Amino acid sequence: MAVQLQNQVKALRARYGLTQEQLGARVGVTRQTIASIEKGNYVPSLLLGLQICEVFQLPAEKVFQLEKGVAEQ
Amino acid sequence: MKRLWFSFAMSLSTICAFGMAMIPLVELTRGLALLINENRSAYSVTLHFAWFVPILFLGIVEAIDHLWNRRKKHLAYWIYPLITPAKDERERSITASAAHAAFIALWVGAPICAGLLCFYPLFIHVLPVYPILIALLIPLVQVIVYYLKIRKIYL
Repeated sequence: MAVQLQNQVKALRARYGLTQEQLGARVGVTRQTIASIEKGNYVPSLLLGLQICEVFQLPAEKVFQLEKGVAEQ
Repeated sequence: MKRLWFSFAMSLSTICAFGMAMIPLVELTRGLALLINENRSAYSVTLHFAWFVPILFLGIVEAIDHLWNRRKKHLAYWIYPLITPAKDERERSITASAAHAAFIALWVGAPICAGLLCFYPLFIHVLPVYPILIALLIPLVQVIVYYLKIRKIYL
């Protein structure tokens, strides 16, 4: 059993009308990093995660959620 | 991504060109060995300048590129043309993982190359540069492993 981190970054970014490039610039990372986070290929550090939450002005649990019980591939 | 492929191509070319530049030097030391071992009074070796042309050409290209890019960001001269992307935490993490994979490749590759060197006596007359080819296999494998790993940054 594994725990995965789900996130709402893509939906929130669309709601706020931000491109990946713009969000990346706001939190100091590249566009590719934002794309990887949205696809779930990269788990951001706590610092980056909180910076993203700050951009959306939402608490962390609204942006990132733990998904338990995912079978290991 | 373009920078990655340029750097990869330059790294492979540098290894190949360095190997080519070693060929006349091996011939030179072979001649010297004959002089010492067979007590000859003189010997002659013809050094073909053509073997040095690729490394000189690459040296010029790399010097221009290095000086050009140094204005934009501080690139370490000694690791040129390798690149170590570290713009953000994900790039740093992938670069670290690529460096780790390249080290593992060295760990596996070096003993294999040492084993391959045991066959040198079989090739000593046919392929005098055999030890150089084997030695250059190590950075070749490392460069390939490193770039295959860091290309994930741009995917």
